[in-house]
Amino acid sequence: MMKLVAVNGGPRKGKNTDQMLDAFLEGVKAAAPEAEVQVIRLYDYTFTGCRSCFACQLKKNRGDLQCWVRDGITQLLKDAYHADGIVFASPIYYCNVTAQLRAFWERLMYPGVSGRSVPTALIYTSNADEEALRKFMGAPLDINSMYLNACFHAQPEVVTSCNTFQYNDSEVFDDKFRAPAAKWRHHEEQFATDLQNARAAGERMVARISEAAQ
Amino acid sequence: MKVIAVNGSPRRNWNTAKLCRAALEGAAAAGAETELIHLEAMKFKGCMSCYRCHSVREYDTQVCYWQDELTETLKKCVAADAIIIGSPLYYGFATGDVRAFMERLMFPIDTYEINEEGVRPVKLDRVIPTAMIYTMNAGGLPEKNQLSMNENELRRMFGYSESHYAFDTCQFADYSKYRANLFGAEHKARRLEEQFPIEQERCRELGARLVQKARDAQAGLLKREETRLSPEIVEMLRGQK
Repeated sequence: MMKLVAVNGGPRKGKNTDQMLDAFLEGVKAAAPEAEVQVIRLYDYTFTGCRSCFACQLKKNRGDLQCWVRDGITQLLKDAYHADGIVFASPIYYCNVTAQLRAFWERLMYPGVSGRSVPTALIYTSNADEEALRKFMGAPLDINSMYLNACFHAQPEVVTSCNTFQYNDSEVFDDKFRAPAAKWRHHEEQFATDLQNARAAGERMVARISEAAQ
Repeated sequence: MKVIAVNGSPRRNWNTAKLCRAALEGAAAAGAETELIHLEAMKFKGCMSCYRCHSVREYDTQVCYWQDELTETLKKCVAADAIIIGSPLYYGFATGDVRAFMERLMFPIDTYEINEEGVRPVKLDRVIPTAMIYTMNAGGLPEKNQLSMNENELRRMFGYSESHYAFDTCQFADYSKYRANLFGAEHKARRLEEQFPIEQERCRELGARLVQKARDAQAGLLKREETRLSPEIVEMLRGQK
């Protein structure tokens, strides 16, 4: 049975990143109703990034596929190593994914290089609009894809939702930079399409996993 | 005059920590009081996106609302005269720990505003000179890299920022134990012996330079290095193009 791990690196429940990941998983379920999906919400766990203990790089631990640091995500990392596909979702904080997802990647990728091809997908949500995301953050995000490709032997599929609506209480938040009304209009016009794109990427993920298995 | 170095490496006495110490030695020699803080010692998470620091009610706050073991360090940083952040490179970027610290250091002094000159103002009006010290196994950086992002954001928040890169560092005391035939134990031992003292000296100079920058800032001689965005970029950032 197909096993998919979904890693959510965003802190907010029910907001943009969460909804995009849900849509992706709907696509997975539509294409493979029998697929087992494990959702990992990183902000629910207490963990650190790589501790540079280098135990995973010791010759005697060769091929172990495990992070030797024991904390809240040790078991989750094992689950991810043995998944058939992994999808990562994160808002963009200062030009890259959240620190929580960076920390998870460090612990996943350093011990995790196997010969197996594991399809991955990246869902980015960003306050910046699409052109700004490409212009200012294209390089960092490409580098993330490059490392995931090197580790999992498959080029990640990237799905984005840009110019997202961040908060809706105009009495609490005085946003002089971006007119909230324009943000809301964009949200109304665009977000459903973004969700549809995420759903389609989820369906493609199932096909990519089937291909990788052959 | 208080200079803080935040060691973002989990190792308390290896390359990154040593370069942080060297930078603080330089700062101390230039007359500053110094403190080294290890992120590894604290339990904390990245930004929770509560947006409280961006709300009208809490607009004057410059420290992350979220209370945990990082809070004291965040308070010390915005009260300091210069900040040094040391990070090893993990998969082409600062460590997750460092990024979590930076998210919570920067967002509370950041705003989603823009003024008539195309400058995005922050809540901090004084200049706090900052520097990143990166250590990495890699022998160099690709032309397209992610690290200039950190420097640019620090410059926007604190008014002055620079970066030091220490390449091709020695990671292990005994290379024979590890799967690392890519590097060559003898080469790494030579780098440790010959190059690392040079990096330490450069970081001492960096520490002294930041103290001078901090003095200049206090005397009104160092103004914020501000990036003016063109109207096209502003429109693009506003998502109204």
